[in-house]
Amino acid sequence: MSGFNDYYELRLYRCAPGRLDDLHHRMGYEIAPLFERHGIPRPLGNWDSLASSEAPLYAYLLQWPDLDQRMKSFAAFYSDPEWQAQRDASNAGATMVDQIELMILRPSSAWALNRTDGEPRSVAGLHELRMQTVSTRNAEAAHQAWGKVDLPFLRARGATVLGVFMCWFGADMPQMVSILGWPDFDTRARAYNEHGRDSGIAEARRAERAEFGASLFDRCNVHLMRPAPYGVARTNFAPLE
Amino acid sequence: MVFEYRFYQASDGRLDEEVERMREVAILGAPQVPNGPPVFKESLFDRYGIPRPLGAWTAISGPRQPLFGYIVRWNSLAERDAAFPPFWADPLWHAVRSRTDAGSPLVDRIDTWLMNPSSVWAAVRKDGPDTPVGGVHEMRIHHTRAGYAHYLSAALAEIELPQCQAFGAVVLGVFDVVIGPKMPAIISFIAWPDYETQQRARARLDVEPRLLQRMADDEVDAGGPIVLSVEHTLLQPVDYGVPAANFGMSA
Repeated sequence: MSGFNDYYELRLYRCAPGRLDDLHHRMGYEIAPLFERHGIPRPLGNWDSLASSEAPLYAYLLQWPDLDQRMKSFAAFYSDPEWQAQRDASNAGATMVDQIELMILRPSSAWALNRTDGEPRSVAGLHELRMQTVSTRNAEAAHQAWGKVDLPFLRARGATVLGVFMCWFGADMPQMVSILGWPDFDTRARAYNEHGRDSGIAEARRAERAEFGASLFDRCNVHLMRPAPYGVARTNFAPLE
Repeated sequence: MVFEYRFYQASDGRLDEEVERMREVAILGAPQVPNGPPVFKESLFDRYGIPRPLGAWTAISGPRQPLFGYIVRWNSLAERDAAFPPFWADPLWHAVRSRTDAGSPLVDRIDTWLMNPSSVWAAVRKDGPDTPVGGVHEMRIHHTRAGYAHYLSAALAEIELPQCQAFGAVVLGVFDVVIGPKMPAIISFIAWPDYETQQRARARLDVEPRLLQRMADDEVDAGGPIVLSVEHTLLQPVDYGVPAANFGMSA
């Protein structure tokens, strides 16, 4: 069970052309012992995306109890000669990653409202990363609306809420970050079609605009992601076994 | 030690109001409120142990307008996260925000990046008195191709920034972004005495043969471009946030 004091780190890599398989090999099958040596936890999920503004995109999510420890761990990892040797060998003359976006996240109140019951289980299928900019003045109201109105609607139509976060350090804040699981592409498409036509959702948006004087939701950047076989996220982002 | 760079996209036409809001909470004295926390220092920021900004600016040119930004330095992130959240929960801050929002949000968007001092800074720093450096400031955010940032660091430290200094600039600070978008990124903050000097210097640097040759050589060596994009912004320091050389940090 995550609590407010947890920090999460979402790492988004824009992969160099042609290197996605190499990056998967590094992240899935080479890097774990070096992460462990420096106290970097096993990721809670690993993904790639070929349907993203940053495609080909590679993504993974970490959880940290302490950000200062996070800074120490990554600094030590990057300066480890063994990592540098492994990196240079697998880069094989050209780097695999062109650009990186890092975000520190904390759990959203919308997540608390949409936990998945039962024992942790792997969530296969299509995963969706939604990076939603929200109203500066009423950010928490946006999280509440998303948690009370939209997520229950989407869950009733096949979505599994893996996690919902607020951006703590990063760009375009306030930003709400959601990671949802869907059984398949068509289920997701149907759910959002209905979401877009639903009179109850439309009424909720009208009421929010009336109450807050402006829309709670600004632009949203959506990435459709494929869970990596070695890092399929579990419900409520329970640790991988 | 870590630097937090916070920048705000103000609502259209309301940049001055944002500057004044920041003055009110970070600089000016906080009134005692009945049954409130004791006023033991000067401002609301002081009350919660949020350091005074090392620099605060509005943008003169660049892509993020209307922009207000400032930098604070923390000893640790635990310290930071023990300071900002209680400030955000303070009723006095809520009252200031509501009053200064005046019916609609003053700020449309916020970025909060974490930065470490770059090795470039150590290489080019010139020590002197910690007196404020006015003039026209320049922020350059260099987004480099991952794995090749060290080529840019070397070019900045060996050629570009020393040339800027020769043309009259004071280097305020150079940072590596550790949390933020489009990484790796190196950010340089430079102070020019005035706009004309900045324009002359940039025109010269644009055709500086050593810099052009270095970039061409580096690209061949790296098998591709080093710098993917540069976000270039001219900044006007606000009166309460005029930075000192090296952001006041003695070597």
